[in-house]
Amino acid sequence: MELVFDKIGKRYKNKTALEDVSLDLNYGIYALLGPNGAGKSTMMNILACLLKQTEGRITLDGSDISAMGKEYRNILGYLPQDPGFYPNFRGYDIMMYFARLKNIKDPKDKTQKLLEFVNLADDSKRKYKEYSGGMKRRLGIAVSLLNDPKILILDEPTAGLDPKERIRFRNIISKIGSDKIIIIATHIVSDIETIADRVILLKDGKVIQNDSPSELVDHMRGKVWLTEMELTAAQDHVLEHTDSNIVKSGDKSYLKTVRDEKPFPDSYECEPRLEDVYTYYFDESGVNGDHADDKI
Amino acid sequence: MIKYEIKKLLTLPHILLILLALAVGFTLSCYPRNIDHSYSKIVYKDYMEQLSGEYTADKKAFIQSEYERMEKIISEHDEMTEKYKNDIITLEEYDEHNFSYNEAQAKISTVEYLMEKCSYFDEIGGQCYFFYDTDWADLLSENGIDYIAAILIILMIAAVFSDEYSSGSRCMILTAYKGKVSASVCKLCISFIFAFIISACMGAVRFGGFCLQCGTEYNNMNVRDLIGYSAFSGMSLFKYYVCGVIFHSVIWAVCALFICLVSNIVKNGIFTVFISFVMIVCAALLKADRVTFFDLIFSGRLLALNPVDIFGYDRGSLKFVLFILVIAVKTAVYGFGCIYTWGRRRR
Repeated sequence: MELVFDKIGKRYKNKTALEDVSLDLNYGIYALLGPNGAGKSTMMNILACLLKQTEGRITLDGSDISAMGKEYRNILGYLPQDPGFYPNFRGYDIMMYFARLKNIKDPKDKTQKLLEFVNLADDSKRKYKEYSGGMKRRLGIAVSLLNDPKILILDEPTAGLDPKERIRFRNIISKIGSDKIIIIATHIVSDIETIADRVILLKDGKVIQNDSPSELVDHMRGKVWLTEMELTAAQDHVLEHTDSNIVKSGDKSYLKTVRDEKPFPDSYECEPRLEDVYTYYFDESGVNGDHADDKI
Repeated sequence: MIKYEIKKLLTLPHILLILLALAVGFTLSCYPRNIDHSYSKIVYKDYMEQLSGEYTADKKAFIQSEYERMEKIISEHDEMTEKYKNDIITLEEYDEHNFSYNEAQAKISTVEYLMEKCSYFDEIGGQCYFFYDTDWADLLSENGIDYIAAILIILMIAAVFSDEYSSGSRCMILTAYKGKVSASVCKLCISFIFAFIISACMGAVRFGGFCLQCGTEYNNMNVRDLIGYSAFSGMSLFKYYVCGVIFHSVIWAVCALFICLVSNIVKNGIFTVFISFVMIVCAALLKADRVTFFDLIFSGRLLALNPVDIFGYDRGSLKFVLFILVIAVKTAVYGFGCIYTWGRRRR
């Protein structure tokens, strides 16, 4: 299965939300990473056929998805940021309603299995409004998996979840990712660091990087610096420099800076992580310049 | 899918709202109707005790003689007053005349109505019957929109689509296999049927209150015995009432589709309620003497009409076939409009 974004563009009257986005996706987990307003949700909505692009087309194995209609929706799973389920419905009812909408042949059996898969079987009789944030998210994932989709779109799936629920979410996604194209739009790096096969960095509507997490991290070697510093001095520094953050280790405090050049004479290189990639590419201070044209 | 759409519509607050509306409707219908008549209802009831049954030449002659007797008493009044002033008649004789005169004054308008009724019976021919028909005539002549049904239907139907927009669930529904056409058709069917049932229930409740207040003994009398209903020969009063309720319920069902279309266009519950109220209820308030092209555009105008205005051959200008055509066209336009606006991709 091959999902191809061919020069996708989306323009509003005074704003360009997406520009010349070209991607070639196969089975695997893809993380769409970018700050708020980068165009992630726009891209998700175009892929879910909810929004019409201004330019380009998306094809699935050569067929334009907008012309595929029901055939495309039959293999699509979509979980928006806020699915807006019905507060007075029980979890089970929500599953059954969407099972009918997705034309599932044995809805009761499928619903039961998925509720067990997301660990909600015991809470399926409770009303949706009584669910915690994590339970709501897990139910959303279960709903999006009802039709065993080949393409699964998750828009900010971990927003508002506590660390335990985040881990649970990552476990669920890694279990199902082998035979699907899963696209996760997020700005939380830790959510996708360990599960994504590829990370697509989106900035101002453009794809600035598209590679595996390890290669992205490798590319950062020689750009992440640690400097031992007094805590107050480090605090003052990070207020003015968004490419830096404070790292504490025992009694000592360090300033971690993501920059092409050595920031201080006594700075030394350290092992980069995926979050450093995010800091490097989405730094607003401009110290590292615009990396839109950087290709690994 | 229908089961869950019904469940979405009939939440506990909605059920309580429906029960409250039915209770209010029933209570209001139990109160006597304050309708002005050209005759006295009490006198008419007295005459009907004498006249009830088949209309005959003898009954017509009796009414005619009553009318002449009363007219004579009234015309003699000035002369009798003069005679009393000139001591030509005694006080007792004058008192006796005054009693008859007052009685004639009180009854003559009713007898005139009875004569009008005789003329109507003569005109339509066939077997006609006298009975105390004022309560039924009042019930059937009630024109105008049912405000309780209007509020209930507009409030509830507005939520069918607009709630999906405001909650964000539309996105999830639209990406499902049956999310575009089937889901919207299901919602439209539920809205159509719900509006029909609510309107019919309000009609039933109103009839229940009427029966409690006025009794049921004339329910099976022929509606053609009421002045102005000659076009509905062979139909009982009850059957005519039921047809009227169905007629209004069908229009409400079409109005429900209109509300759905508005909610799909404005994508907001409050605006939908406001626009629907203006387009349906306010349109119904603009009264007209006869059905016009304007009424074909605004369903609220049709709601304000009595079925006799549309189907009565002697008064109406719009025939049954045209009415059906209008309903069919509106259903199609609103229905397809809803399906299109629901499923279309944002630009």
